[in-house]
Amino acid sequence: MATNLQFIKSASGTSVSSLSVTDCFSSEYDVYNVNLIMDGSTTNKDIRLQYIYSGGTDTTANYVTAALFQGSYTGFIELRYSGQSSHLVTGYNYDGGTGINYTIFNPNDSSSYTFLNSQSSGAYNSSGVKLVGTKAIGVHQVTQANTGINIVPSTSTLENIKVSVYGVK
Amino acid sequence: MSEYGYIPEAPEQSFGNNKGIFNPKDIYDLTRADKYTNYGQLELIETQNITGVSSTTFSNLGDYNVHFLTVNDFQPIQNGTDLRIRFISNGTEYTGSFYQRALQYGTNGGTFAEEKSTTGTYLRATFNTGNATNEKTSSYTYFYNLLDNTKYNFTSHQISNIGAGSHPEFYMAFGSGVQTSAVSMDTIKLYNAYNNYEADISLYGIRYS
Repeated sequence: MATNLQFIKSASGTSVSSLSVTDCFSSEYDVYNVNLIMDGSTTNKDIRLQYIYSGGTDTTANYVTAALFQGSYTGFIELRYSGQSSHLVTGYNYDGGTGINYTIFNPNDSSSYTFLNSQSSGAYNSSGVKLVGTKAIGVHQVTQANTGINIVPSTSTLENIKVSVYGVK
Repeated sequence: MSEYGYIPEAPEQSFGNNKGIFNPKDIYDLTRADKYTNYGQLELIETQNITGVSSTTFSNLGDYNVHFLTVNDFQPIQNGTDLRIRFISNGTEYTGSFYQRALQYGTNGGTFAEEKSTTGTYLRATFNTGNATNEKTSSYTYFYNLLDNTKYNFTSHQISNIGAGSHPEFYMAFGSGVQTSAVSMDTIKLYNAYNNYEADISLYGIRYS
């Protein structure tokens, strides 16, 4: 059955400081669906996303993100960031693992900003397991042709991570 | 026979990198081995058109790391109730306080609030749906690690519905859930705790995730 979610490529790592998926964006698709699964790491905390372009990983202050931190054990927290070197809090992981789904719009269009919508479900393992979900929207406020993504934790390493990128026809 | 009398080895086949001329049996074998380039990675497992029952199950989960569930036109008999998720492993339904959830909901009337639990006995697939004409819910849910007995089962979802109230009220909700027993689940159960319901529900696997 030919559905409209078309696998492009995946990347994985077992204990890495970051994970890149290169050359996954092209002019062939306008919208991409990205799934991420990873195990817990005691010090990961928030999971961040950066774009890769012809100049390498873009770490300039072009990332704007608004997120809602949803814990099963505490009041929800609104988070807003601008002028950052990555999209912050696209997921959260503290020793329990996480799953994240990203929808990314126009990443390879050099005449448009790149927009992001992410939702995650993860675990915070401190004095018992607690659910942490996040919902984030973001814009990469520069008109450049991004060709890939780089996943990076706020601290420590990414454990047993797999990222799969699909084009949406 | 190739140049200089060498017999070349068959090239390694993989998704996006197939080489050669394939007969129908080759395509069948490579497809079963996930090595044939065949686009369409949102793979429908099953659709159920539900009516007149309070519970249904999806017991074919394939071999996927990530599943995707759509619920369309859910409506309960009992006004203001929801569609709930539990997991089953080897015939054992996990009914205890294994589930945690956190969701944000908002209404067109201006109410925004949190709904959360660390001791839940279920996860949500829908939210507070009415039972009058056209009071229905549509939603989608991602499932992670259902088949992995070393990891927790994570979900995230988005919901849009017409809820129960003194007047029809539009709701949106988004959130997540986790089942904290590291057990390989073989069945997803979708139930209404009060009475029968109707809905069109489809379960997909996302290949290569």
